[in-house]
Amino acid sequence: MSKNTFVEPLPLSNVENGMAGERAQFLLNTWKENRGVMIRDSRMTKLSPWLLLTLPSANPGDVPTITFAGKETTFRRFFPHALDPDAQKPATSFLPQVYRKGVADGYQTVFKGDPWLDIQRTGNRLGAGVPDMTLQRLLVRFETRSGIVRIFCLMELLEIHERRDLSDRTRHQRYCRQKSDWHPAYQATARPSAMHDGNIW
Amino acid sequence: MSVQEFTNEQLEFLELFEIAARYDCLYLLDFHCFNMFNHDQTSLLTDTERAELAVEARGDIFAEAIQR
Repeated sequence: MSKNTFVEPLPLSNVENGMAGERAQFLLNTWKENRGVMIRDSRMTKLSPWLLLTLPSANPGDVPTITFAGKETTFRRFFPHALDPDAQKPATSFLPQVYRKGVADGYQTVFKGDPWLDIQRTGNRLGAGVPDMTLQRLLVRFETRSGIVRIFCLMELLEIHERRDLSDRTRHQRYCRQKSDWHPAYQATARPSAMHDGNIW
Repeated sequence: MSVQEFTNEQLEFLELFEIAARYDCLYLLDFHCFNMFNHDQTSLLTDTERAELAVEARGDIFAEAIQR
């Protein structure tokens, strides 16, 4: 992995052993049990508020078109108007190009059929007004029996980091030291499943 | 009930439902319904709510039909 990237691939064993949270474990288990075939399932419907669905193709270095964003997703939270029916531009264009490029590789892997897990430290790459976050992302490819493919993205917000005040040079310099303990984020933060009270879905 | 007895909104939703069923995408309708109304029982929706659901889900579901 390049030193410049903010995305760190993680082993899928983190999902399998529950370390990545109950939702991720359920999504990957469902994908395995159904062999990637999407069928109507009330449990998946209950998971849908945390899911982002996309088309199964994208230009190199970019992310695919978003077709659905659940109401609890970080995308809805920080880009609430991106999916308005009268939006004048594609939803993905609300994501800064530097972020889209950084997270694009995982999509190329999942387009081919393999699940993908990573952890991201967003810094200021999501633009003004969006906090610096640690996110965990699981991507899986589902296909219906008639061949309709969607990429399911489960993004778990692990931590919101204090935003440095860049307008205050003194303060900025004081805090500009790179924090080195963000990876693996699990060591400093609650596991995704522990961020909620009980089994919420 | 003849076609003439359905409102345009009802017909639009029925068309959306039929396309979603044809392409095994009813799960998408479930997702949209659940996120809008906290349940996935479209039969419990009012005509107005079904129309709102159709607006929200149309692009998602129709995109596939158009591609095929």
